Amino acid sequence: MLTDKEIAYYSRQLLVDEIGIAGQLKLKQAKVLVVGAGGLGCPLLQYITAAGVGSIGIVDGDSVDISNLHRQILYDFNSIGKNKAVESKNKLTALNPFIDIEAFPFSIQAENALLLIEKYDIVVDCSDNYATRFLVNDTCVLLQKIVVYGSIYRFEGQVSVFNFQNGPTYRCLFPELPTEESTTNCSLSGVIGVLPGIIGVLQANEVIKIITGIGEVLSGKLLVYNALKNTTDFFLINKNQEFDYESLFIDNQLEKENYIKSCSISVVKELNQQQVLDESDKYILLDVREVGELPIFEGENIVKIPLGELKNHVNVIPKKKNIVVFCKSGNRSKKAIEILQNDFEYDNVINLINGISAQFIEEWERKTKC
Amino acid sequence: MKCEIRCFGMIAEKLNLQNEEINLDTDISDLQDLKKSIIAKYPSLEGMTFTIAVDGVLTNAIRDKEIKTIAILPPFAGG
Repeated sequence: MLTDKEIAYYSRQLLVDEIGIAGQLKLKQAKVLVVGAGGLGCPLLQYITAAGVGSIGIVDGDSVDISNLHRQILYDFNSIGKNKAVESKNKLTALNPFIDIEAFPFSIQAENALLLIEKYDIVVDCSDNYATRFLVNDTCVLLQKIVVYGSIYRFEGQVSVFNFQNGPTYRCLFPELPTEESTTNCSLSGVIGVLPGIIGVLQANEVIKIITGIGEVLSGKLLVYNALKNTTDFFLINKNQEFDYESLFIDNQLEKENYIKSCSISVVKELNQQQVLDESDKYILLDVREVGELPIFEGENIVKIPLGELKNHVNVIPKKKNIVVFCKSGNRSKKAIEILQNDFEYDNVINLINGISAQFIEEWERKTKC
Repeated sequence: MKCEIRCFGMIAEKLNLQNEEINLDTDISDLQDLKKSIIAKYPSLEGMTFTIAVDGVLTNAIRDKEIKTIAILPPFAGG
């Protein structure tokens, strides 16, 4: 049933013959989980919210940074520092109060993926790293859920729908997680704001088509969009019958080692901000963020080398001291630790969980001045 | 045999190449052979992750021996 207010809200969409009341009710009953509320996730969420998808989950452990705002235009200046799942839920509830939105303010991991995904019908992959993309794909194969995939690199974007009516999956496209250093993301390679906007909206379009059953779903096809040339290429994806999904699952659980090993992340020692502050005199900090990333953190006992340049400047990192490596969220610092441990035999490097914050800097400066 | 190579994403950047016509070995029977000849032609692709579409189809089997276009597609992580 739709209330009078809902009918008014969706009136222009109800006028579309292919949707009508029946299609709107299908949207209302649909359950969609969005992994990542960033460049792709924001525009996607805005459109599926406004279209009336009745139950939306948003999973993102990251918080809004000033450098996100040029493309993640769901957020504004007051959103800075707030968790993306929670903040996007607040913004979207104001856009459409007739739907249910649940915020999961943490990262999707092998440990929680099954629980997160099982109550949804469609999962939209708006993540920004390969490990999450493979984890989402594999979990959806295990639970027989549809994946609406989107990803971007500089001026290009890829879109497809995986595991739709037993169709091809992400591993039919790329069987194994990339192991080389092609894991650049927007903070390293740059991106123009409209590109994730275009790709996220294409994903939203697929979500609406899948739910309402109209048009042709982008299953078995990879769409590649180029913003500079304004071209769209389609490539047919055949199902890779040889890939052995069974080997990924043990007792209907994901074998989390697959994702950890495949990302070449070895065992990394981790400390939270308070643990580091409690013994601040024991540590030297290594900042692997890009030059100019905020908040700026300068002072004694801080070495600054962006992740991409780590290998060239590794000689300035002392081997005899305990090094706490940090970035914005704790992901790049993990990669830095892997390089230091595997390629340069450092055994004294520790990851700062969840990255840096203004409060941490303030406390660190206060403690190290004493 | 002559065919057109099309590059995408970081592959296009790495090779500084959008598209060009190349001469390809004629005795290619599967995707592994094709990958080998492409890496022989562009050695900097060694070790990179990419998938290959032959005449618009991403497949393990190469049925048509007359290949017109080869697209080299890397995965994108960004979002």
